[in-house]
Amino acid sequence: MLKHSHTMKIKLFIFPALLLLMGSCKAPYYVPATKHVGIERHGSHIIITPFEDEKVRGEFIAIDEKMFIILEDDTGSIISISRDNIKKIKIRYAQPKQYGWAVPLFIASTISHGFYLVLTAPANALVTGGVAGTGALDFTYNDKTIRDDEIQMFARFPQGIPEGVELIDIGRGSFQE
Amino acid sequence: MYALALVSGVLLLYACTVHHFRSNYKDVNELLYETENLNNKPFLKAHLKNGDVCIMRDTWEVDTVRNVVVGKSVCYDYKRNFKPSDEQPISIDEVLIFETNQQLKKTEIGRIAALTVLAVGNVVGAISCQQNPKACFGSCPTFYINENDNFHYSNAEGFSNAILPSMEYGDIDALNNPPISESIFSLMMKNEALETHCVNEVKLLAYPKAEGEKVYQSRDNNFYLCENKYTANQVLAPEGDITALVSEHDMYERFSSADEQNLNSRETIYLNFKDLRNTDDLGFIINFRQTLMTTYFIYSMIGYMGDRVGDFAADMERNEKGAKMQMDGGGATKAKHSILKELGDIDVYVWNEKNEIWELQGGFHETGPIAFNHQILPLKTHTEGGDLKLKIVLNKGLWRVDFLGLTNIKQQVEALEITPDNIQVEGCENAEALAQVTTPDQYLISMPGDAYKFNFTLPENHTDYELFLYSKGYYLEWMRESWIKEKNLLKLVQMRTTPKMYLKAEAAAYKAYELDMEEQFWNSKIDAKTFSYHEN
Repeated sequence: MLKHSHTMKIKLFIFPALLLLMGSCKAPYYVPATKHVGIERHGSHIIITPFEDEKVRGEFIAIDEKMFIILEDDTGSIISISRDNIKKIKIRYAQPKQYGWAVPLFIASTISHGFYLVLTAPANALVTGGVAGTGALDFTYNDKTIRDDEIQMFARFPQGIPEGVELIDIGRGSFQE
Repeated sequence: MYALALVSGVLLLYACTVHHFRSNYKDVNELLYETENLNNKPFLKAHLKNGDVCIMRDTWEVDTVRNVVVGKSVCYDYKRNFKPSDEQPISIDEVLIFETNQQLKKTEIGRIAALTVLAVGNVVGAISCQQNPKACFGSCPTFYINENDNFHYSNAEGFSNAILPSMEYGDIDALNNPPISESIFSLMMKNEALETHCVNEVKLLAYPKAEGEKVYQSRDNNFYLCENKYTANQVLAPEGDITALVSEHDMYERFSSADEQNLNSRETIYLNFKDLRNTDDLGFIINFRQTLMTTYFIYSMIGYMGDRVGDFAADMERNEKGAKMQMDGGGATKAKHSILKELGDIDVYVWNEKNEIWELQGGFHETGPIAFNHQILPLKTHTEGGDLKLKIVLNKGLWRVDFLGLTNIKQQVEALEITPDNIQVEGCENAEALAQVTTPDQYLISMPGDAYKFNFTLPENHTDYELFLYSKGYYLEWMRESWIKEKNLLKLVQMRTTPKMYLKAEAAAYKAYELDMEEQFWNSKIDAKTFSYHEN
């Protein structure tokens, strides 16, 4: 008898993988939930893709005429990136909404539709995939959706680095909403 | 459901809106001017010269006399450590930038609406299928030339009547294939139902043909090489002229509703052919398939057995070959055969002008609501002149007819039998599956959702072939909870012993099912699809 373990293994792998993928979209802790947007004390989360070097991810500290200043997530160090070296920018100002759970759940529910599964499963995948995708992408700006003069509003210091503050001293205070 | 997806998609567009909620002001007057007419007072952040930030919810006020901002605030230093507040007003002179933020509200409305619409659609679909499982859960393996087609466009369905091992048989279906241009021919076999398919053998029957020729299969599995195709000048059914509907292989079918008083009720369709170019060796050709009526009876029969379905199946297997198929007064196989016999064939008659009588030529019968059957009936009656009158008599509500016509039979032909070279599962060759469908005592077991691609090599000494699929095996329905509730052994007995009475008694129940599910089942057909090979 032909075994079907190969197919089953793939199916068993896909669903947890989808869940993990959707779960991995969570932003750093200092990015507020939507209900706390406007009363957060930190800058937004920024991902900068330079023309050279690797992506930089961290808290958006400030911007001036020449540089973006970022408190990097992984190292906790301050990084300056020249505006001329920036290929892409993505700013997240609120935690994404997680709808990844809906994809396997809704697709699995179409098994109750019998023959019609061939129509309803793709429709469910399309809609839930769209919902999960937009949920993950919502509350973000990129260089196409935000004007240059608006970007500084999402920095910790929209007024620029305050006088007398050394960059090396900038860190994150104890987190407490 | 696709409409549902589109509606949901529109809602999603709403959900993708970019939010604009934040503003910066360097001048306090500008702040006052911009916020004075807002319905909801925004949150306010004061970014101070020393890097501190003070955050106020919606209780802040600007005191222009004292040049301060008053209200309950929470302040943090430039490292964003909390600074205990002494509730002192914030001096405007210390503020470099005021930041206002409107609260983000109803950001999820679009996504929640989309999921709600989808969930409601899914629940409605599930309830419909639960109430009428016979229309949602099909039967038997389906075969596709184009592996991406769905079951509405299945090219063949195998051994639809074999619902138990003892009922196994070999089934031949015309594939109505497009012209063959390559020596490799592939067929995808799918299990699209809640069933276990046990496939003993799959092979192609190939008939060489020249341009303009076509090979048709008769009910008794003889094959005829034919030429010419004639459509009727007029086709009259009880509802009126249906000439246009049955003159093309276009999947636009003629069908009728079952009689509401008696499911065993016949109707007649008359065909007039005029000026036939050649009246030698005429064969009547038909493209047809069944409605869901037979499926309904098969599933009803299983439902009547209820929780004893296993006992019945075991009894039938023990009494294989029909030696003794009695149990509680009702052999299930016999019950099914009684009903099918009562419902009858599509009988074909030719009008004998000389004797002024309708002469029976034979009939067509093939179980299954999915794939079309393309069959021929050689006519016994020779006609003088070029005119011919025929009629077909068929059970109301049982058949869907796509095409009716005549052809000239050139000769009876013998098939080249071609076994598969290899079988692929998800793109990988599977030698075990191949051995199972080419070894007489072995079975390829196909579970719901499985798909097998059969690759055949055609002989290269002919340019084109008419192909037929031979599939042998049986399938086991998965018993569903709702069916167990339908247990009714008396009805099973009635099905077997007095099928005429059963068909009368069951008419009302079937009509309720028919109105709902036939419409749902077939209206989901995608009209835009082009099937050029049906034109042959």
